[in-house]
Amino acid sequence: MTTLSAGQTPYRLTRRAFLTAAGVSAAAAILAACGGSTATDTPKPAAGTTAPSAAAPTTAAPTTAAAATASTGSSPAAAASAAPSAAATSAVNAANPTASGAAAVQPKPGGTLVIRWWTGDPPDLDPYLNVTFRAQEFAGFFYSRLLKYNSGPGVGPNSFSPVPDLAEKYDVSKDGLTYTFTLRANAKWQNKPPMSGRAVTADDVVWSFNRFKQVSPNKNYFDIVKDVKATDPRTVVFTLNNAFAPFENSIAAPVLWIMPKEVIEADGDARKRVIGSGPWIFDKFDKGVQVVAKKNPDYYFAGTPYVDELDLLIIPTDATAIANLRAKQIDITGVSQSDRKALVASNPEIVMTDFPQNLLFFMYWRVGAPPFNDIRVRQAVSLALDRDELITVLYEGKGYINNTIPAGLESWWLDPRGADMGPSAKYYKRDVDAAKKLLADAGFAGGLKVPFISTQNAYGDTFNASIETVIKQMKDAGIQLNFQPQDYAAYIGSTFLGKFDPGTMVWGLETPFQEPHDYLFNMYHPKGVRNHAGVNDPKLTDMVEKQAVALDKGARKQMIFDIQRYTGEQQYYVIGPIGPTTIATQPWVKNFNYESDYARGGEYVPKIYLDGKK
Amino acid sequence: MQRYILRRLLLTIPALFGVTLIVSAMVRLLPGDAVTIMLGDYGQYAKDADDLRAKLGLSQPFQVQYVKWIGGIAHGDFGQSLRDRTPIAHELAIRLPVTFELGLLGLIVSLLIAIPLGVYSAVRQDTLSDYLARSAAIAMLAIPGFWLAILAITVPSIWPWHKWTPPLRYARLQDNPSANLKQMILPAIILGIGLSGSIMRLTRAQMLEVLRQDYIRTSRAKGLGERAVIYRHALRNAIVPIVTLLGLNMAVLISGTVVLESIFVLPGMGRYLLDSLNSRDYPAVQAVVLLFATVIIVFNLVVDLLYAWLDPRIRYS
Repeated sequence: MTTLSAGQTPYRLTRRAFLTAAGVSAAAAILAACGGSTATDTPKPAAGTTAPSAAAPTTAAPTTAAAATASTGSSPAAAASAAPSAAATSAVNAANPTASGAAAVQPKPGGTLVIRWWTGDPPDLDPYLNVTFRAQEFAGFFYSRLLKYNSGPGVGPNSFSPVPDLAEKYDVSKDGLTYTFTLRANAKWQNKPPMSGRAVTADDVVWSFNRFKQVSPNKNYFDIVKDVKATDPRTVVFTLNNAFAPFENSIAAPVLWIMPKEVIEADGDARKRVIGSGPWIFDKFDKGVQVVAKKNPDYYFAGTPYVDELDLLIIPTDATAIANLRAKQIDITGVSQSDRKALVASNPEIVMTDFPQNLLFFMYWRVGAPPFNDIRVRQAVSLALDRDELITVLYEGKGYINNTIPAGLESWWLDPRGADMGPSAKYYKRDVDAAKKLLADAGFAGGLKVPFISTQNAYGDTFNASIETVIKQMKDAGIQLNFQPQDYAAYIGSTFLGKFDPGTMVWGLETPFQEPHDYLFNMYHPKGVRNHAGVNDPKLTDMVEKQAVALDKGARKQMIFDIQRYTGEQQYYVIGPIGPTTIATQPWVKNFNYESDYARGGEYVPKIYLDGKK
Repeated sequence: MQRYILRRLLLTIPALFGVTLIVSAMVRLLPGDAVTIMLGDYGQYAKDADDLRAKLGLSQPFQVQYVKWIGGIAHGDFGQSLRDRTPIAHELAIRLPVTFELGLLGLIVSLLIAIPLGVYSAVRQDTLSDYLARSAAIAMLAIPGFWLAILAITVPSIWPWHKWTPPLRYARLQDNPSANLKQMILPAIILGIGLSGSIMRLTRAQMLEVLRQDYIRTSRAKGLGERAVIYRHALRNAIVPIVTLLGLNMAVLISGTVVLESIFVLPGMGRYLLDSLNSRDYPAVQAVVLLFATVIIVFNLVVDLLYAWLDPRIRYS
């Protein structure tokens, strides 16, 4: 049996962060590369790269972009689809409205891009010392990673497909134990003392890795790594303890930023001077107001960023952001579904980009204790949950039916109501009579009364509304929930960690991970750090471990589909539906191809250009 | 008078001490701490969390943390933020002028609205104007500031002829007075409106009482102009309780800035307090509350001293 580390969980957005940022910072739109940008855009991996994902171009072929537009339409109203299954994917394609006609357009450099990026200040400017999402988002603009997530026309906002960044290529040994990264010859630190434009070297990578292991609260993240060595100034080799299929994703995740050694050795941390090798040069941070950045003229992806200056606004309230979007003071912001509707009516010129969130609303309990140790009770809860009603109530009818893997991770998601799901599909459609029968069979013919925990001061109005709806739906099936609201800090520090009375039901949000392994290992493996339900199923454990070492992506995908079928039957967690996140952009924002991870400031933002902004 | 002021100032010390002690204790009663928030989903690594708590001094007993903090205050050191280890005094120095300016402008606006309206309403008692003014006062009391603020931001942004919103990027008064006032005026008006309802009603009530006094009749009988009667004799005698109300409203004023700073994107103390509370940044919360408490106490002392100036019959000894 392969040994997996509990800490081996690729970087994730926190649920709270995702929700707060979803609209907002998510706003970070970005853009991109129209086909015409290919010449100056992200270099393609060097020939000889053996990793399949590394070979994927970062910009889609013009025909791909055009096809995406043609098939889904570019009007805002067409962007989201209520159909949960295949429509989820088409909605993702629709999320690239700027792909329309992008192929033949030459990006226009210059201008200032104004984005409502945050609702609050980045808590720390050193991303190793604070692992919360705003600190990582801040780092995404200024620091590089060896790999990054792909973005561009035809690339879904949740594709999370690793491609070379600071590394121009990388090779993976056949046994999956050794990853050799070759750094770009033209990669330089920004031209500020003490870095002064010197080359980024393999020693910088090793030094950054060692610092991460020393100081980061997330230091266990790289427990899978046995050793990191610089074999020459441009080559760094990672040796793993055992093969780990998601390792490329771990490297691409916004975690291992390549940090400026001289600065940190002089200052003790990276808080005073922000000097990276990324696309943007830090200019100023006015607390509570904005972060301003200038384009890095020496960026290794020559020609980008297209805009000269970034103005990342910190706006706490949605109403302020929406008003300024209407008044054309903001180019990009995230919007709630209710604001979206009003905006489409009042400002039809504003472009809406919708995409499924890779986020799980879910019901959990302790599966080792009654009544939830009885599979029939768990299945009854799933049958009682009216996912369609939740989509209607929470998302104006546009949403997606999540499986164990959320619909947002489109390539790994198995439609839980589709034919491929098999017999388990029935648990994802409401059937109150069947739920009552299962409860009766389990000895609860007179109904079930249980305590019910959730938190109402963290995830926003949409989540809060879901609590009320779920309580009503359970009641329909004879499940009486005695609601016990919990403050977020208490919830996250106890209930979320599985510390609650057995026999209690909990409704919560799971962290939006970027890799299916994170959902499977964290939630279903006995060593998982988010095994809230206390799942310990040897068969499932074996399935989870096997997919983690399956280096063939196709075979791994089938393994992950098998897991979704199996967990669909077991219902260790009852997974709810999810709606779209919407990003609103002004019509002059071009080449906007959103990517939803925290490092998007260095991914799609440099590819945005402005055309017609006054 | 000097002894009185000295005595009042000395009395502020135990008051402030009590406030900081209560706030320090209460903020720690909130579930979670700065480490819980900072680590978020990483909090399952108990050892890392404990290490971080030790590093930040949170593993020490409350009384030790408090004594250290209050000792620092005595030396002018507000301590460091738990979030990013920046000096809290630096944050306060940046943010206090923002809140002070907003509060002062709000106060001025409230007086400009409330006093004339209250006087007018009293002089025109039981006329249509009086009814309208009293209704306006009730509306000003009843309408939440945050709602008014959102309305004030949203409506101009959908005007068909000229879309407008207040500037988003805060400019300091000393750097760019024009830009600063453009950003400040709208929240100041909304803050002032919120305060003016109660002041207007009290002004009216006091004026009605004073206007029935014999000396007012005498003033008119000896041929004094109505304007002089109202403003020199009636209003001056009616204003002492209004000044008292201003002192009491200082807390309302401060709490109003918390919401308005968020909506109008002003980097003031209110937002800092909210952020600090949400991240359980104890030293920052304590410092802001200490500052707010000081402002309230000092303002009320000034109000007390104003009594003597407004009403020569009042003597402090």
